Amino acid sequence: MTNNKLNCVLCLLAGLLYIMVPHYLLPVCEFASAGSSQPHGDSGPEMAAHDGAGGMSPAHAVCFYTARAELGLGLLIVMGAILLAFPGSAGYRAGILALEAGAAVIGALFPTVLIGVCQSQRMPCRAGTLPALIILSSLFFAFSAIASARSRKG
Amino acid sequence: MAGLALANIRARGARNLGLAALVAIFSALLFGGSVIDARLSQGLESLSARLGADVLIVPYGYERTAKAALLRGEPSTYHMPAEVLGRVRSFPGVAQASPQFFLASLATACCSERVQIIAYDQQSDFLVRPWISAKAPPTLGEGQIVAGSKLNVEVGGELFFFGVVHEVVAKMEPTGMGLDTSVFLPLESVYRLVGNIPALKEELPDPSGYISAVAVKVEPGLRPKDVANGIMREHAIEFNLDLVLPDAIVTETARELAGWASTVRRLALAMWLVAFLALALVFSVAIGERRREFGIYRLIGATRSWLGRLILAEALFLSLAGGLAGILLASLAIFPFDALIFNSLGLPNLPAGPGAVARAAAVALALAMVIAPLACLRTVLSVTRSEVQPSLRMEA
Repeated sequence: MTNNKLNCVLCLLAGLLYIMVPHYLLPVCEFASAGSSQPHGDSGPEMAAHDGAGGMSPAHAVCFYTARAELGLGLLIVMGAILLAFPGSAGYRAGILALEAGAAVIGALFPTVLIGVCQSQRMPCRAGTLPALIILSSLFFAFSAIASARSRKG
Repeated sequence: MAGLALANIRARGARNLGLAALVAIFSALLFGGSVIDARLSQGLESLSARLGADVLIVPYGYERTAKAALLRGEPSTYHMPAEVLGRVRSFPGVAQASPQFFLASLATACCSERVQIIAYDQQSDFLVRPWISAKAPPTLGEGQIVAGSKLNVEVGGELFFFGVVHEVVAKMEPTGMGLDTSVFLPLESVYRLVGNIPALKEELPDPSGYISAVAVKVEPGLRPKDVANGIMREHAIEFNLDLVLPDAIVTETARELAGWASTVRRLALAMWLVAFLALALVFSVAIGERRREFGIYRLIGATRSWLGRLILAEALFLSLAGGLAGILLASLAIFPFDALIFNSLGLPNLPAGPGAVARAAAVALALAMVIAPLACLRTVLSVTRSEVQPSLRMEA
C-alpha cells in the first residue's frame, strides 16, 4: 500500500470514528440511555424539573450537541479522505492533510472548550466519550501533521 | 553493538513487530490488571474501615437495594415505621442505634444526576460524622448539606432538590463507595423535603413517623450476627424487617476481588508462556536463516561470544519495546477511562497512588524484559558453539 493510500484509509477511519464514538461506541448520555434500560433501583418520587446535582435541564443535554458537532466534523474528515484518493500534487495532499490536522484540533475542542459535556464524572459522556475523543484527536493530529509534513517533502 | 542490534530488528520489521506485540499484550495485561487490582484493594480497605455499623436494619426486600446504595450509590427510596428504632435501641446487646432516611433525587434530564439523599440523626449518628471534613460545622442547620466527594459541587456551592436550594457546607472524604455520590442532611430537613413531594406526601402524611434504616453497633464481645438474629426473631414479622451485615459485604467484596485478581494473574501467566514459546520458536527458526550473516560477522573478526551478545541485545530491545508499548497502551486504556471502568465494575475503589502504579509498571516491564532473552538462550548457545566455515558452507 502506498503512503497516499494509507493516509487516505487512516483519514477515512478517523472520520468514521468521530461519527461512531459519540453515537455508538462510547455514546453520549442521550444515546447511551436510549440504547439501554438502566436500572435505578427503587424508583424515586415523581418531581418537577431541575432536580439533581448537575445543572439545568435543557431540551437536549450539552453533550448531545457535542455529538452532533462531531458528526459534522467526521463527515468533513471523510470528505478529506475521499479527496486524498484523487491524484494530485504533493502540495495538494499536504494541504488536505494539514486541514485534517486542524480538524483533529477542533475535534478535541468541541467536548472540552467550544461545547462541552455533562459535569458529573458518572455521566457516560464525561466518563467515556470525552477521553475517547481527546485520545482520538491527539492520535489523529499527530498522524495527519506528520503525514502532511512528509507529503510536502514529496 | 546496540546500533547494529536495532538495525537488525528494523531489517526484519514485520516479524519483530509481531514478536514485540506478543510481549506488549503480556505487559499490558499484567500492568493493567495490577493497576485495577491495586485500586480495588484500596477500595476494599476503605470499605472495611468505613462501614461503621455492625448491623443495618432495613425494610423487608430492601437488603439488595441497601447494598447497592452503599457500594455503588444507586439511589433508592424506601421506608419503615420509626417505631422500629425504639424497639431496636431497647434490644439487649445493642450499644448504639441511629436512624437514617433514604431518598432518591430525580434526574429530569441528561445533565442532572440522580443522587442518593441520606438523612441522619445528628444526636445519635456514628456513621456519617466521622467522615465529614473537620472544617464542617458541628451540626447542620436547615438547608445545609454535606456532599459526597465525587459530586461536582464545592463547599459553599448549592444543590437544588425537590424545590429547595441547599447550601453545601462540607464534603465527605473519599470513601471509594456509593457514599461518594450521596448527599447528607439532618433528618428534620428531609422530613420537610418530603412535604414537597406530592407522591410521598400522600404515602407518608406524617414523614417523621418513618425511617429507612437503623444502623446498629452491638456491645463489645457480642457477635453482630447473634444480636441481629435476635432482633429479627422478635420484630421481623411485626415490622416486616430485613438486615444487612456490613462484615458480610466486606467478605463478599473481598471474595469477588480475589477472584478477579486470580483471573488476571492466570491470564498474565498464560500470555507470558505464549509469548515465550512463540519467541523461542521464531528465534530457533531465525538461526537457520541467519547462519550466513553470522558467518560473515565471524569472518570480519567477531568472536562467538560477541555473536551471542548481539542476539541477546536484539532480544532485549524487542522485549523492552514490547514491554513499554504494553504499559503505554494499558495506561491509555485505563487512566482516561477509569470512571467508565470502575462505574461498570460496581466495586468500591480508590485511586491507588503513584507508588503502586510505578510498582505495577516496574514488575510488568521486568517480567516482559526477560521473555525474549530467555526465549533466545538456546539460540545463543547454538550460535556460540557453531563455527564460521560450516555456517558459510551450508549457505553456499
